[in-house]
Amino acid sequence: MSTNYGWAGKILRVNLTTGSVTTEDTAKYQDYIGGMGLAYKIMYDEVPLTTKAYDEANKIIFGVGPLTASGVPCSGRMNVTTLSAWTKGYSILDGHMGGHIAHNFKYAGYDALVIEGKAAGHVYIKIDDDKVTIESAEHTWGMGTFDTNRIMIEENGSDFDVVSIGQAGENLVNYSCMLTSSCDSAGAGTAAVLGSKNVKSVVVRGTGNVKIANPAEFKELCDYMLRELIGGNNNHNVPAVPQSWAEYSAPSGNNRWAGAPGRVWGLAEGGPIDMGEQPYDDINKIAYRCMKGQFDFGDIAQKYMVKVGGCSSCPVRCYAEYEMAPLAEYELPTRVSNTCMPIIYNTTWYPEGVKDFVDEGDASIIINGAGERALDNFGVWENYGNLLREFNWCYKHGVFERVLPKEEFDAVPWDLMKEGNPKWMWWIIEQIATKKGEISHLGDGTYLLAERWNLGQEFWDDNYMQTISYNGYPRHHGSEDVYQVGVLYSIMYNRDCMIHHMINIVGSGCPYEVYKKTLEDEFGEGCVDMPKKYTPMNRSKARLAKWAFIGKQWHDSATVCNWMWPMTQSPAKSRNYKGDHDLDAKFMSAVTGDKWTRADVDLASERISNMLRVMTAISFNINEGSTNLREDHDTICNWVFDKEPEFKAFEEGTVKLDRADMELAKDMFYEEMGWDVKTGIPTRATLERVGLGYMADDLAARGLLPA
Amino acid sequence: MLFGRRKPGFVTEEENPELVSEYNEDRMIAKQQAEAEEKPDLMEYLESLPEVEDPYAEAMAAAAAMPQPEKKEKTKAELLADFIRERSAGAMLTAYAALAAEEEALEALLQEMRETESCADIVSIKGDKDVYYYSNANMSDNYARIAMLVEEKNLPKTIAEMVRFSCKTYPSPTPLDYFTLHPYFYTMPQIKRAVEQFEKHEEYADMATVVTGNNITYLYSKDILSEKYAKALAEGAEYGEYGYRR
Repeated sequence: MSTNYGWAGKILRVNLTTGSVTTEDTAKYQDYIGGMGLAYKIMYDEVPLTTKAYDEANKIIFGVGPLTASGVPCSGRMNVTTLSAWTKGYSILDGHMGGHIAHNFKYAGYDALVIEGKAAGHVYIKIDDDKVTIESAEHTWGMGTFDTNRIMIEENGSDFDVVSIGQAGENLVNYSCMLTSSCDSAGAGTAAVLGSKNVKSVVVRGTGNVKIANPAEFKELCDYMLRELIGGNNNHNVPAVPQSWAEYSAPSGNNRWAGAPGRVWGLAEGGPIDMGEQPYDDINKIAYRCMKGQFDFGDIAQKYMVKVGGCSSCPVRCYAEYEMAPLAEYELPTRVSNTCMPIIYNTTWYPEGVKDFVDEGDASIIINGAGERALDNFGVWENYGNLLREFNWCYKHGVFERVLPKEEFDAVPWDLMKEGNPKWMWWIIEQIATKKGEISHLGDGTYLLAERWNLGQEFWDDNYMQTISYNGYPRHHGSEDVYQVGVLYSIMYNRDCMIHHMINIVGSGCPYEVYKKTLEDEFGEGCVDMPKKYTPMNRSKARLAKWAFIGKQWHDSATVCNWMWPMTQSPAKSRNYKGDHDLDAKFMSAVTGDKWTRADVDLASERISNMLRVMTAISFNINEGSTNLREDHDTICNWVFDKEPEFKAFEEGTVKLDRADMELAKDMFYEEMGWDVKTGIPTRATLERVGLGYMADDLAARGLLPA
Repeated sequence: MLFGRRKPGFVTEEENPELVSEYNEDRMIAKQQAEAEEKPDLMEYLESLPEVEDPYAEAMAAAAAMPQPEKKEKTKAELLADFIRERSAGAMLTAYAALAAEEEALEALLQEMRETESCADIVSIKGDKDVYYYSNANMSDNYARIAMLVEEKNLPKTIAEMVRFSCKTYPSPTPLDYFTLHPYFYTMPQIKRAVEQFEKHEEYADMATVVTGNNITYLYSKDILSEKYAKALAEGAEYGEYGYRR
């Protein structure tokens, strides 16, 4: 590895107990790339998996990689690794955030920030290039993320970036997230680990740069990617609405390339801006493609959209920014923005329905605007919708009457909920963030909540809940999109999988026969099924699942955006709509100056994937007494097999899976991964092949290594 | 600031007056304005720089003095192709009838265009009412078909043809309101009236509808998709990450 190119070359360690600030060479972690991989190695070496998430001995690691901030399009991703406080097995997990902080961090000269120990008082960490200090945060402790971030910028300067926790993180709420930039967040409870260390914020200014080994080659690759490969948000490669240059468009009129003639940012500065057509090779119009508000809410979004925002190095701009005047009447913030669950799911807080505000059909967008600001302000994470579904489910099943003390139940402002008042969300989210009352245990997380409130098997197996695994997290584009493949990678992590490899393809609006050819050329016949018409498991699907699973680890280590990468499809007819899976390796070669191939990228990705697996096996052994991940970790909730009773498995029109077929899917997937079929634990041969022989020794010493 | 000035009442925390006075936004703006005023005017600064010798002046003069290749005047056929290309780039077809109104010897001109190699991108599509020309370098074939159907204003035929195309190609049923979008821009009453025609004409006997759980009507062709499959696909399109999109 040439740490002079791509990598910043240094890892920053801040020990809050001793107050020491040190750096070390990144080179010793070269095999683990960066971000997730680098953090896994540090965690494995330094944090015994007997450690609890909020113990002083736990560490939290912010990581970027060799491609971060290099100028590679869509490389504004930062990975945050720590131990889980809320999922079965309490193993390792990651949060991820975009925005601009990853770039500033890299420019400051670091590949990772390792936060250790616990501060005596409330602090923030200030990184100003090589000057790193621990500062008092007593004046922001107790504040929401927006106020905290504002004050941090005002105090330190507008060329700093900042990430802060809200009240949820301070109060060690398992469902917590940290916020940076407009509304980019790393969730999965990582904010509470920062809170347990008394860290409110991290502010960063970097005035350096990322050195590129072959600038000319790098520039050519960037141009090639922008002109031939990149599409809309989630790399959807055909527009939602017919455009004159495009052969295809989404037949439902809806995908994440939603910009179209006649669709406007209604509140743009200087007057409405029409998105017009965006020919795929016109790189100056890429930002007009996404128009995420249109995808989320339909035409009403145009009335409130100001513009679109996004992360550093990304031309796609997937964050719709709104000015929602109706919220002013409720004395709530009117300027809102987000791109994912915090802004598309908040009507779930209203089990009895929502009501329109000004125009017919505007209830969803306005409620979501208010909910987004509440969730992000308090730094509450929603576990890809599980928090809201848990509230809704408990309300509809009479759980609150059973578990809340009568006095508390009577004091809940149910009338706000019933009248569709957006202040309802601010109330309940604040309860959760500040751990007020029994109702705040909604923030404990699915696994612990089910136990505390004795929600029973019915709760886990309800199709409405969408909880994919009995470990306590939901599907994230699972069986509903890619059947066995989607379930396989949805159950591999210690949180929702966050894998978008396949939804980017099957949800793109591109004709099935077109993307089928692209995928079958690489993974074999029968690897991808028609929409709502799936076939029994086969070896090609196992290869496809492996590609998606290990590829996610690459994205979090390199780092690049998992919503946009990999470049599987292209909007160019001249390429037969086929993308370029070698592009990661090409960029690695240009940036680092070392020769990288697709095989090199895959090997590194497999290495990191096996680290995840080994650490999960050890945690499950320590915390659950398990010696078998297949039986104890890779569980699948019954709704996956029992939904849609009017259909039989494999019947045209259903996504209901078959139990025996899914067991076969696990067999084949484990074989592809080189894992023991009986236990789902990596074999010595596999671990040695990917350079993790020391982990095989560890598993053997614990009696976990497959025979 | 990313989200504008803070409005009072957003948060319930008590403000720290010392903090606010020390770090308020007005102070920031004033500081930035003061910094801006200190900056010199760019043009003044550039003019103040000393004159330097242009190292490329000689090379530029030599290049200008070089004999330029003679520009070949375009033929009438090539000019026609340019005209069609420009319209295609603007998402417009060029109708034969419109050209014929302008050009008496149109057939000969079109023949010449067909025989000119540089005009190979100019192709045509035949509708019921006319023939339409476009550049397939600037307009996709499928869009040309849509544009032709829209141009001919036979709404039942347009809708039926596109519904069949989507059933066969993607495969997918098509929501009624799809035809309110670019480049159709039909109104819902127009669409509903066209759909009513389906029952009255044998040529549309394969057209059928399904309604999703959120009450959105989708059209499909019974010859291509079964009702159960069409319903499942329509539900899949309407149901987003975790709920109906609308």
